[in-house]
Amino acid sequence: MTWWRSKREQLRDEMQAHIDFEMQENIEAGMSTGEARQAAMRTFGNPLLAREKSLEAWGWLWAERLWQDVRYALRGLRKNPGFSSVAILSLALGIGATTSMFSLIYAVLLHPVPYTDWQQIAYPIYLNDDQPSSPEQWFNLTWSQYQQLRKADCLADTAGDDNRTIVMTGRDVPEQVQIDYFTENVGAFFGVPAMLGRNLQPSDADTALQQRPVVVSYHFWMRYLDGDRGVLGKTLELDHKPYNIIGVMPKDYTGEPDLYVPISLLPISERKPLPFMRLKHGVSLARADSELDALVHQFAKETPHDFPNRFRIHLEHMTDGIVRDAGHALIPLFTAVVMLLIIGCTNCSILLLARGMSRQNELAVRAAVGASRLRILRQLVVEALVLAIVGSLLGVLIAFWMARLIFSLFPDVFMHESIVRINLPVLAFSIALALLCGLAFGLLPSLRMSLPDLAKVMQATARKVAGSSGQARALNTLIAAQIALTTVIMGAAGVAVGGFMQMTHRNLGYDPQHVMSVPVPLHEHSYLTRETRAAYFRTLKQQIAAVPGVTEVARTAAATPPDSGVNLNFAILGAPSAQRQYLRASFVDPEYFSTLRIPLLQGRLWSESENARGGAVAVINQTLARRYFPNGDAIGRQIRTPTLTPQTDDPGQVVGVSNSNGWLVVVGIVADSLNNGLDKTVEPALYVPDSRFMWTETHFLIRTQSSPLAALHDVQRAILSVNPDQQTGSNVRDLNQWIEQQPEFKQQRLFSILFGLFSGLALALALAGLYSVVSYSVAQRTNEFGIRMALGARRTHVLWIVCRNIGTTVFSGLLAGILIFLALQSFLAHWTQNGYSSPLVIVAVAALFILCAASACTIPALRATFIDPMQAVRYE
Amino acid sequence: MSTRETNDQLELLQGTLDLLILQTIARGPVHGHAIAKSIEARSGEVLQVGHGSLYPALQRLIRQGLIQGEDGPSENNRKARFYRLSAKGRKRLFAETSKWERLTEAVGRILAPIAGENS
Repeated sequence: MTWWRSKREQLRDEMQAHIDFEMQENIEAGMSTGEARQAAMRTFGNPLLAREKSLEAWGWLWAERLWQDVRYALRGLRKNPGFSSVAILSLALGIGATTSMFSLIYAVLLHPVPYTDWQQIAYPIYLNDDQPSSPEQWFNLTWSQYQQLRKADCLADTAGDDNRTIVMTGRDVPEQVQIDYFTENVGAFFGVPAMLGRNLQPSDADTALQQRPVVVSYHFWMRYLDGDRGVLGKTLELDHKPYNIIGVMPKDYTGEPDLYVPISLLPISERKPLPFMRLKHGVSLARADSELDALVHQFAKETPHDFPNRFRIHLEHMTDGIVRDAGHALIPLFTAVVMLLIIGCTNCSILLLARGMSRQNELAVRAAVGASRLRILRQLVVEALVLAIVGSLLGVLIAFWMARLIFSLFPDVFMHESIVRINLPVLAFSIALALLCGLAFGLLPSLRMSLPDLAKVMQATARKVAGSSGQARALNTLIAAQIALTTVIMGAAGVAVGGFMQMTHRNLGYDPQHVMSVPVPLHEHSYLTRETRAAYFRTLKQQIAAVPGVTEVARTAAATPPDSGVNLNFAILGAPSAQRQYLRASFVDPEYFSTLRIPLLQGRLWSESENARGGAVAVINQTLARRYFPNGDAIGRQIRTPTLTPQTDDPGQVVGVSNSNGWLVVVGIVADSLNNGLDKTVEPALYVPDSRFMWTETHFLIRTQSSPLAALHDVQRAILSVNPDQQTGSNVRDLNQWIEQQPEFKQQRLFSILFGLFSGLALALALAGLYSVVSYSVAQRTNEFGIRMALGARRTHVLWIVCRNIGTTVFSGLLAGILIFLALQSFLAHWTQNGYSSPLVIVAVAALFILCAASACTIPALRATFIDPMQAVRYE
Repeated sequence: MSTRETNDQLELLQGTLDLLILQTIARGPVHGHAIAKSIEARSGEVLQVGHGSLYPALQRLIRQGLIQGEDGPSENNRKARFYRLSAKGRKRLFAETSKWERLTEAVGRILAPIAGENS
C-alpha cells in the first residue's frame, strides 16, 4: 500500500507542476493570474479523474476500491450491532457446525490412520459359502503358512500378529492385559515411530528370548506406568517373567493391545499370526483376491478345522470397516449440519433484504449521482463477503471446540487412531465454504437492491408504506424455506430422541441395578477336566459370595445381557425341523435368574447338583415357548443344538460333557429378557447348566447392596485367596455400563444429542430471522400504523395486520416442512435402525414451532401497538 | 483522448495518442506539459490533447516498459518528471510508425477516387 500511496502523491505533484507550467505560459501571454489559472484548469481537464485513470492503468485500482468497500462494510456492521451480531452468529454457527463435521469426516473417513501408505494395507477375510449370512471371518495362519504367504507375488510386504491375553504379575493383584505378539518388522510395516524409545525391529527376533523386549501402548503407559518418561529400561513382570520396556507408542497408535512383543517369544508351533499385507502399487484387490485364493485353499487342506468347507478369500482395506460403520453415523449428521448451514445463510439473506429495505434511500442516492449498477452490486456483494468471512473466523473457533466435544463424548464411535485437528484441508474447506455462503446469501438481496426504483424512492412521502412487493415476496419465500428446513431438522431430532427414549425406557426383562459382571479368565492348560474346572469355579463362587455386601452371585458364560447367548440352530425331538431355526444358548448356573431378577413362569429351575454334573436339562424363555410350542406343552420336551454336542478336537478351549447324546429336557420357562441388543426383539433363548460347556473364561454376575464396583477390590481379594495367580479380566463393568457400551445405544445417544443440538440451533436461527423481519416491517410501517390508529384502528387490529402477513408465510413454510419430513420418514427410519416413527413427533414439532414462532412475532408486533399516533405520523 | 469541439480541431483516433507520445519523447527527455505543447504545435494546432488525458497514457506506456520516467529540474528550475524512450519503446515506435504509414496510404488510396468523383 505504501507504493500505491507514493504513486498517488507523485502523480498529484506531476499534474500540479503541469498546470503551473500552463498557468505560467498564460501569464506570459498576458492573462491575469485568475484567468490564467482558470484557462490552465480548462485545458487540463479534471485532475482527479486523470489521476484515477492513471492509477487504473496499473490495474490496481480495484484493490483500493475493494479496500474501500471492505472498510465501508465494516463500518456498516459496527453501526448496526443488532443486525451484525445476529447475522454473524447465524453464519458462525452454520459454518462452525459444518466445519466440525467435515473435520470429523476428514479424520475418520479421509485420513483415518497414521500409518505409512495406509491405502495399500489390507487384510484377508474369508466368506463362508455354506452359510452366506454368517459374518466374514479373519483367520490365523500357521508359521509355515505365513512364510509361504510372504512370497506371494502381489504383496510388497507382510506383517502378522497373534493377539492374546497374559497376566501381569508382581503387583498388588494380578491383572489380565492384552498382549500382541507381532512379527518384528511391525515398526517398518506401519511406519509409526515410538513416542519414547523404539518400536520392535527385525534384530529383536534373534535376541527376543534373552532380552524379552516389550513396547507398551500409550494408554497402558498412562494407566499402569503413570506416564513416567523414565520407564525405558525398567522391567514389567508378565506371567512371572521379567520383560524390558524398550518403547512407548504414541497416543494415536492405539488398538486393543496394551503390549507389543516379538512373535519370536512363542515357540514356532504356537505362532498363529493374523496377516496384514501391503499390496504392491498397482495391484487391485480383485487381483490379489484371485492370487491368494488358491494359496489359502491349499492352507485349508493342511489345517481344515481353521476354515469352513467352502469359502472364498476376500481382501479388505484396513479402513473399510471404519468407513462402513462411522460413515453410517456421519452421513446423516453431515446432512443435518448442511441444512443448518443453509438455514444460517438464509437467515443472512433475510437480514440483508430486510435491512436493504431501509437502505433504499442510500442506494437510490448513489445511483442518482452516477454509480453504475455493477458498482452498487459489487459493494453489496463485498458487504456480504465481509459478513461471511467474519462469520467463518468465529465459525472455525466453534468448529474446533465442537469437533473436540463430539470426539470426547463419543470416542468409541470412531476409530481409535483418528485424531481430530483443525488442519490445512479443514481450514481451506471452511474458507471456501464462507466465500460460497457469502455469494449464496449475498447475491439475491444484492441483485434486488441494486436496482432501486429511483423515482419512487426519492419521493420522500411514498417511501414508508412497505418495501416493494417483489422484495416482500422474496423475503417471504426465504422465510418459508427456512421454516420448512427447520421443521425437517426438528422432525429428525424428534425421531432420534424418540428412538433413544424408546430404547432407554424399554422393559429390559432383567434388573441391571447393583449388578456387575466380572470376567475370570483361566491360564492356558489349566483345569482341563470338567470335574476340576467345575470345582474350581464353584470354590471361586463360594469365596465371592462370602464377601461382605455381596448378596447374590451367578456364574455364566456368554450370558451377560442385553446381547447374550451363542447363536445356534436347533432341533426339537418329535417335531419336523425342515426350516432353519435359531436360538440363543447361554451357559449359566441356577442363581443366574434370581441374580438378574428374571422370573420363572412355569416348571422349575435345575438344582445345584444337576448343575454340578452337567445334567441334560434346559430352561427356555417365553418367546421360544410361544413360537415353537404353541400348545403350551414345552415342559418335558427335548431340544438339541448340534454344535453343543461335545467337541473332542479342542480340549484346551472347552471342557465338555462326554456322557450325553446332546438332547436336553426342558424343565422350565422363564420370562423374556433382552438378548438381541437394545433395539431388536427378543430372540428364542435356551439356558443350560454352565458345567455342560466350559470355556477358558467364566463371568461372575455379582449383585451387591450398593454400588457394585466399590466391592470389586474385595472380590479380587476373595479370588486371590483361592489362587494367588488368578487375575480378573480388565473389562469389569456394572450392567448399566454394559448397556451403555452397546453400539446401538452409543449411536442412538450420539444421534439424539447432536440432532437435538442442531435442531435447537436451527430453531434459534429461524426465530431470530423471524423476529428481525417482523421488527423491520414494524419499523418500516411506523407512520402507517400511526395514521391507522389516529383514524381509530384498535390495537388488536394493528396486531392482527402485522401477524396476518407473517402468519401466512410461517404456516406455508411449516406445511412444506411437514410434507418433506413425511416424505423422508422412511429414509430416517433406515439410519435410526430402530424404525421409530410416531405421528406424535411431527405434531409435537409443529406445536413447539408454532408456539416459538408466535412469541417471536408477537414481541415486535406488540411494539407496533404501543405506537403513539402523534409521534408516528411525524416519524421519519 | 478528449477533444475540443472547435471545428478545425480533430478527434484523435483510438490508439494514436500513444504513438504521438512515443514520437514526441523520441527526441529526448521531456516532461508532460512539454509533450502536450509539442503535439499541439507540431500538428499545426489541429490536434488538441486534453492535457489530463496524457497521464493515463503515460502510465500505460510505463507499465508496458516502453518509456521511463525520472525526476529532474525543468527549464525554469522547477521539479518535474521527465520521460525517455526505452530500447523496447524505440523498437515499438518504428514498428507503429511504419504500420501507421501503410494504413494511411491504404485508406488514402481507397478514398482517392471518391474524392475525384465529388470534385
